[in-house]
Amino acid sequence: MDVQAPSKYVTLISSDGFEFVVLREAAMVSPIVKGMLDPKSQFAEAKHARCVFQEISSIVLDKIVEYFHYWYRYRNSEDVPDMDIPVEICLELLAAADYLGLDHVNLNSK
Amino acid sequence: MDQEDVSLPPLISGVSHNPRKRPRQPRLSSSLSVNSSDPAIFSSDDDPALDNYVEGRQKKKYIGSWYKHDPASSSDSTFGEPTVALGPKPKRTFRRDFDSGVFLGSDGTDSEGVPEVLDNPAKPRLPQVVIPKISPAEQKLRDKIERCLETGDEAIDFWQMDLTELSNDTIALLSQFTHIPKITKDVAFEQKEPELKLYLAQNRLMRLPGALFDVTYLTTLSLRNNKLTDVPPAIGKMSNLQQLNLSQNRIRNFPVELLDLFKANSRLEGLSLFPNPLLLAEQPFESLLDNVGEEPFQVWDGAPWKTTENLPRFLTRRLGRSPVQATESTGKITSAFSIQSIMDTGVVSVEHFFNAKHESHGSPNPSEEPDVAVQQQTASSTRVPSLVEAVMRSAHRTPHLGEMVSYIPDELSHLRALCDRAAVQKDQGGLVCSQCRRAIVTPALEWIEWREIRSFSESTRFGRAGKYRLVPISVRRDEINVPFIHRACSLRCGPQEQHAGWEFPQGTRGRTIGNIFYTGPLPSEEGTPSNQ
Ligand SMILES: [Zn+2]
Repeated sequence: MDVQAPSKYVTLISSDGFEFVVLREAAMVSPIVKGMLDPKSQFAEAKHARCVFQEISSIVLDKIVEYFHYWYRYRNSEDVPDMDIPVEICLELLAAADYLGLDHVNLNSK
Repeated sequence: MDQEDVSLPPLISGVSHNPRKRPRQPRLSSSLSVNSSDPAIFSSDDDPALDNYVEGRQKKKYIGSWYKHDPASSSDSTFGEPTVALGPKPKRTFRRDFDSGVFLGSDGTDSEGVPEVLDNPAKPRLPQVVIPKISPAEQKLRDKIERCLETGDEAIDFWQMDLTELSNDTIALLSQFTHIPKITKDVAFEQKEPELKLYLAQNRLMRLPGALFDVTYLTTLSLRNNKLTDVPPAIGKMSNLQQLNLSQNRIRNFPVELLDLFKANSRLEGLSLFPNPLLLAEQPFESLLDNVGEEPFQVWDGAPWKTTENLPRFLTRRLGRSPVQATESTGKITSAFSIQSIMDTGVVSVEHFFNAKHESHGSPNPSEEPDVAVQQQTASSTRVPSLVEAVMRSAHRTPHLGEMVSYIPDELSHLRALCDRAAVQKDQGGLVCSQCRRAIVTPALEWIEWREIRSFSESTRFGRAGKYRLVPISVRRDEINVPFIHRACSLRCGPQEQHAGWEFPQGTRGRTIGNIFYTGPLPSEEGTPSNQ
């Protein structure tokens, strides 16, 4: 297997085929995404830096990607603004966040 | 290598948001008769995936907001989705949507029509407002409040009335109080804020409604001899409260936000916290309590001027704290220590004793930082909440939190428990981070801190009027260490390295050195009083 530096960006794909390009370091806040994209693994996901989420719609994945960037931007800030989440997607986003292991952050931050 | 191996465990399908797979229901726009203003009309465009074109697509159009649609039959409510998806999916029938605006006969169903569907009794589409039944005792209290409102009586006596529950709706009536000025001949019309007094002693209340803490004009609150187990942190908002009685309940610890009532801009004078089955420290704080039973606190007699402005009414000092409980956003406790586990015995080990401090001072000037805490940066932590917590905080701010619970499928029972807990918390005024005061749903960290509290009172003994002393709020040994619960949003707001000196509430002035309290400058600074 090639030993090469992992790409800076990764692509996340929703169930309805939308692609989201995310900074790899930001997406790593999810232990599930991190596991899928671990360069040491033999997974196709890792090789091509692409993850397909068959159960997550683009509306929800869009918000998850927003969270990745929100976390990345404010992770060392003292003043963190609230994230704005429309009530219509709360339930699906909650389930997806739980599924992606986004139920704690203290251990993942740098 | 089999690339299919990497497939993930399936996400519970009940919560997927797929607008294509939903059954269509005929709907009547009966809400038109309910709303006085025109309802919003919005449409839902399906995504442009291939099977839309295979199946043929139809634009859906809905009237009103999504939450006004009956979730059980609605095809557009997010919350309705899991309910629909859990059972076998109903076969899609190609019937006309009467509000679709499409009457072009494109699907050949022109002959069936409006009259057929109108046979269904029209139901208003607004959410059915269930008026909660209240107990006869609570009804009596409502009547009492209404009578007091009419007569302008500001003291609401409701002792020993068998009150078991108190709803936000009942308490909200109190917010209608406005002072009725007494009109006396030759006396100028005087506008005064109401001073409400609520006496609920000797009832059987187990919890307090959040609306209680928003009754701005409440000056006396007696909850003596009820069955309260918790005091919500929102109690710290009651800055007009002068008398608070929480004695003879089932309280195990107080929220540290209670100490907000000691700040200079609050008015608390009388505080009764005992007896209650408070959490006890396993190891004693003996060394700090040497002066109990003696003259409690001396006051420096040599102040060249008298000032009563911004003097504290209570001083507290930290004695020690328990281990810290760490919790994931879904409510799973990840630390060895859990607060729930010590509730049976009521005895908690002390992990940290605070270092005694000889001197401390307060200042009415907010820019002058009181010497309370040494900020400690925890490098490996962040203030950013987890996404689960971010969603919960967001839902907590909307009026729909309570509804969420019923739409969570059984497979996600831990999320249902989380929403349930959040709804109960919200009902009682919500939680905040004790350090940064951000509204939170699940505290990342919680711990118990014991403090000694002394009230600051004018001494009249030995002709020493105008001099002050600090009196323990209880002389019983087990009531000197009062347990307070701290909640933190993140590690950054976790326990700090702090001293055990007397802590001056925000905005209060004075200085302590050892057991002497100084209202003004130190004896050595006596020559230059800045009469401020
Ligand atoms: Zn905080």
